[in-house]
Amino acid sequence: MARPTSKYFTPVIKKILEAKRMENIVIDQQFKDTLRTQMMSKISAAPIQKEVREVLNETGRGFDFTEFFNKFRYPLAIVPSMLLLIIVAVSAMNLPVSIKNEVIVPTATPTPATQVQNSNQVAEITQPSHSVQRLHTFSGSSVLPSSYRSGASTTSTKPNVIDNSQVNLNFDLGQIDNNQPSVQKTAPAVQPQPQSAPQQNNFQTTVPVQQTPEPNSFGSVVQFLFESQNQPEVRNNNNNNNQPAENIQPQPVQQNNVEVNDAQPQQQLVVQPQAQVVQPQAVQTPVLENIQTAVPTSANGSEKVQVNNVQPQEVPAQQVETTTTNVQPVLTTSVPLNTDSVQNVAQPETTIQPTVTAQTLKFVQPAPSYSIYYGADIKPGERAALESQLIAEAGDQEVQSMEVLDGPENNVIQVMYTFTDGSTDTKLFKKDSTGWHAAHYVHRYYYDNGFDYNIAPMR
Amino acid sequence: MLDQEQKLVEEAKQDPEKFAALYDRYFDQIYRYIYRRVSDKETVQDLVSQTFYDAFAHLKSFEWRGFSFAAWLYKIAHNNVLKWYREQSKARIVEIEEGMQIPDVREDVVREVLRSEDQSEVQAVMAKLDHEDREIIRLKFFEELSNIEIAEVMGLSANHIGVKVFRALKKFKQLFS
Repeated sequence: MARPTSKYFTPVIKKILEAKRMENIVIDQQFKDTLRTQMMSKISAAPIQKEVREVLNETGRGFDFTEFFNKFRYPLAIVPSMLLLIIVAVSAMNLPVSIKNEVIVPTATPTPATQVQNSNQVAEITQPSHSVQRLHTFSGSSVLPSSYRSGASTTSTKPNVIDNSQVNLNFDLGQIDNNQPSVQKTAPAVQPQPQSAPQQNNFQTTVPVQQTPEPNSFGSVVQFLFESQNQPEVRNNNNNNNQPAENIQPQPVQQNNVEVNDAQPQQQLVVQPQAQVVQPQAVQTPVLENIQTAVPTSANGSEKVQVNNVQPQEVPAQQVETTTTNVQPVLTTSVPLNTDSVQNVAQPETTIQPTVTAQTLKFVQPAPSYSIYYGADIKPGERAALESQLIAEAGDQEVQSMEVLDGPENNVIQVMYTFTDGSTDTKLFKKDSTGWHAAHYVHRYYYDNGFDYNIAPMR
Repeated sequence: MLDQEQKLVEEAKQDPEKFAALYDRYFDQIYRYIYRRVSDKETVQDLVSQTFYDAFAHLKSFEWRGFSFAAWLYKIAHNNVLKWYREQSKARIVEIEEGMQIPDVREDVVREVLRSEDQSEVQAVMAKLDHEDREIIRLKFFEELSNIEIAEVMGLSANHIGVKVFRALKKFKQLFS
């Protein structure tokens, strides 16, 4: 291989060098000087800037952000990432709160063994709502169908609307005092709650006089517990409305409400507006129904007045006592749902019940009111014994007045009874050696115009 | 000569204002080299200024490894020229993609190169050579660089430059004859 400097390439190299000499490349001197000036100016300025930067850094006034971010770019990049993690963590911490609220319901539910009882109770609870629906139909002001109304009551989205309907119910029935609509207005939307409603029914049937659902402070606590725990069950069991209310087991919560109303009747009007928040609906509705059935004659006056106007024979003391006995066993057996709430509620219940019976006993025994007209000649000393005998013979009817007249024979008198219901009856009494006795007319001899009378036991 | 060049470089490293001596010494060579490659006056000025700014910025990184400071400047100029051609080629691709009708710049470049090289027979033959052979001939005979310096400028092995020079001259002779 020939070298580039060999004679083989000499003519070629001479041509190339000759072409180099022939090329005419003019260098722009102005550009050369300008570029030189610019470079020298920058070169001279570069150390000055460096010195100034060093001085500022030494004095602390200069802070190179670029150098700072370049030096700490990785630690600085961690800051937004940590903020993002914190936000995610906080949002995640909020999740257990919502779950906890949801878990409250299942925790309040009873054990599987007690759920059967609860389901029965719920089925019983629905009856008050059903009665309310029937009352709506009486008033004629209700527009919504019964099914829709019951569903709205369970959800309790608009309690005010249902409250007004209940006021109408009271006016339609005419059994509760119209002058005190606030008592009925306090009843919020019908929310048959599994524990409260059955208790109210049972107590009302036995003690029809005391139906005022009193939403006091204690009752409000109880209502809150039932709302948070048992509303889902009520919703699922709205179809079980046909079971009789007598089968419902009473529970302490309802009784507390009723008892407080009786013990403090004046505070009812003041406290009742709180019931809209507490929603003791399930308590009042059965009360209205019981009033119709148990106390048909007590149509005037408020609830408090009803208690005073009740006739003694309608509310005997024996009935009140039996109700108390019926309630107490329920406290021990039929409260498997939530032991905490039941314990809180049960204690005031037992303390208040004796007060209820005492008050009712006072009003149950009024003095008899009737008048006796003596048309026959009966000695004053004999009248007392005669009157006791006359009342005894009156039977179950309430006597308004009696007229004692001479009988067809001696020692025989004729008494005309006038009862409170307007009916009349005539009875005969014969006097013998032991006193006055009821007698019956046996036969009559037309021919001798004589009468025979038998003594009362023969009647 | 190398000792004087080395002295100037060392002084320029110590005192940046001494870079002016290197600038005055190698400006004409770099200017002609770029002018032969580009032939556009404005582009030549831009590439020349860029070459000297780069040299000044990286002056402290220069080390004596058997070739001159001029070879290091040629290398910087060579890279800037290649970069400029690369950018021009990208710009043309973009314009073509946009659907615009652009004349063939390569023909213009060749035409300018031929015009700048005095339209002589030698330059006509140079235009027929490929890029690498033409660049080797320029650096070997026009710039009068050694094989080591050519290898430094082109980024090739110094031992391989001798063979490439022989092949370039052989092709040039075949075309010239």
